[in-house]
Amino acid sequence: MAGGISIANIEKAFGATRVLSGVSLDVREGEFLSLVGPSGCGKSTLLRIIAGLERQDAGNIAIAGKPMDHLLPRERNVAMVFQNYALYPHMTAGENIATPLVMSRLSLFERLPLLGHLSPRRNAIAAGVAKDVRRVAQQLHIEALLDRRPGQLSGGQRQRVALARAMVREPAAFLMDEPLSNLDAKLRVHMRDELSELHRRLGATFVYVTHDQVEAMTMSNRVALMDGGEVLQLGTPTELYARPRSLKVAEFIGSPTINTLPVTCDAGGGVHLAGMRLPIDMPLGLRVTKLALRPEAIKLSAGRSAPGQIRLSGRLRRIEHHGAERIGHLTLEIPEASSIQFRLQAEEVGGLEEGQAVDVRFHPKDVHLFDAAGMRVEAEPHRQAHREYA
Amino acid sequence: MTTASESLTPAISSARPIQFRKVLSGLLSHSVLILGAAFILLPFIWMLLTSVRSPDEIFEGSLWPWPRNFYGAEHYAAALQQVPMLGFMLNGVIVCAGILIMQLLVAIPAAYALAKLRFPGRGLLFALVVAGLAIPIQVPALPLYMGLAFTGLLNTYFAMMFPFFLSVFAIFLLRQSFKTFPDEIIEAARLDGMSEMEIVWRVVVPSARPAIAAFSIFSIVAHWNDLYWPLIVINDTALAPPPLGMMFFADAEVGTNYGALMAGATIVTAPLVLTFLALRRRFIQGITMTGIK
Repeated sequence: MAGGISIANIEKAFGATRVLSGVSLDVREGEFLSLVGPSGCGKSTLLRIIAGLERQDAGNIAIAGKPMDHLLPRERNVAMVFQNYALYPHMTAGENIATPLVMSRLSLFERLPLLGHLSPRRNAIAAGVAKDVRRVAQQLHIEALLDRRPGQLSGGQRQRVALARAMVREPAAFLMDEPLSNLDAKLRVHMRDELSELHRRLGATFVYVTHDQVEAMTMSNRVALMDGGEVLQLGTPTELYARPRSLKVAEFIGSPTINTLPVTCDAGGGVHLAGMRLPIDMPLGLRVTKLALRPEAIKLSAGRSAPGQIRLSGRLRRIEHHGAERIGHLTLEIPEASSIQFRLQAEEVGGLEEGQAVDVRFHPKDVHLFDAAGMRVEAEPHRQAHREYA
Repeated sequence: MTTASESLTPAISSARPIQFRKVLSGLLSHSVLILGAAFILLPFIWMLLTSVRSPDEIFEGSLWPWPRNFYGAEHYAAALQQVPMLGFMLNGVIVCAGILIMQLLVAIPAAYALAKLRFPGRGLLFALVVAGLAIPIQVPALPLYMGLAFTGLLNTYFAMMFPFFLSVFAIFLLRQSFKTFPDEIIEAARLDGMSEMEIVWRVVVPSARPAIAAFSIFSIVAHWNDLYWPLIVINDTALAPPPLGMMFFADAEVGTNYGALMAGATIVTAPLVLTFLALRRRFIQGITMTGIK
């Protein structure tokens, strides 16, 4: 029943616009994989190609080892949950959920409005369908809503009905196209939790499209970050956060956004930031142009200089309140870099005032380096820095 | 209300003139509408009056709304007895129902295909549909008549219905309505296992009921009142729909009995007026939906 999805070299263009250029991806069986990226990156198109709603120009899709390329959507055994839920407006919630079962279990003749009742096995099948609908409705706590029409349901309730309609036929894979983006912020966080829980319970393969990196990071086993019709990086949320393969990935993942500072490289592999030689060495021949730092890698430097760390001075432009933590916005005294953001714990804020001059520090091991093409470059640990640790 | 607005907005001196202008423009637009309505309704009122007046009064031409001698019973009895009015109306029902059912069976899938399916030549086909709107029945009347004559189908119900089975107006109107139907729901139906035909009839049509009702009224009114085409293909009184039947009898038995003739006309018009009044809300909903969106 279940199985992974293999996506090989998918290409798609709408007229002159290239939407997907050679996307390859293996979704493992039972995995929750998110396709995340800015709007227009091709993630929704890829999902629709998996579902069979859109035909690829080149490449292959296989689900559970079976090629799907020439099958109609209904023959692929996948269920989809849409952004606007896509419930049938004139049917009750119960009828909506029953539709996939009615379609697969009753013959065309048995589905006819009046003649269908002539079939002797119709009643037995209808009873079976009703039982399955109730079972799924119970799992999602919507038994009380089965007689209502979509127009009488709230956004969250419609979302559950749409989920139930997807679950009821036990598909090989669930395809979700930004299912939470129409819900209000609080409900979205709640449904995130419920979807993760549902995935754990069903053990089915989920492919989840979103533009919200928080959704992708919190729910997924693995995340595929897409941009410009390509997969920039595929990995676990931790991998994407801790070792972004390119500057684009680094900038897309994480909130607040990663800080980038321009750096230069001398002939000997030394890295310089605003005229300051950093305790970082590049392997010969590799040049870096950008240094990136997560906001939590930057700490307030309270006067004392810690060994092996890099200090920067600037003016505290703004302190942003986020409950337990604060985000400090620092205008640096470096001409090309306008501002960086860093995390502060509530207790650190004590004597700070906006407009004040402060020093911050960070450790060379927390630095991400990127070359002129925006690709990640691994630095060699600085010999001198090693000595200082010892 | 005026005192409330005065006390609330003492500083705004222009509040009163604006309100006054509003009332004036309301009065003006309503009186124009009433005048127009009176102009359009006058022939119908005249028809109703004539059908209940005594023959002497009919020729007096008085505008006095109520007859001195109520003569309605006689006229209506004459219309029903001398003229096979109910037979004409049954013919009308058969023809209108036959035309409408076939129109919907053809136009609904065609409109869906033009609105929601992607295939080469769709734009051209739709352009042809729009162009078809400009062609009146009089243009293909001769070839149609000859075709029916050659196949020996003149003087049948089929001859009266056949030219109208394919309604470009229905295709156009319903396409506009189907276009507003969300694609996601159609895609969900495809994933749920419905064929395109089932999507049309199970999912799209139930949501397009106002547009279908609006078209149905257009179609029924047009074909119930149609004299031109039945006049060409029918000369058997037993098959005549109401307007043709009325015409047959205006010349023959009740030719000079205007009271009975108008009674007959009232009987013929009544079903349409009643249907419209019953479906009024749907009708307007359907028109505004397809017109504005």
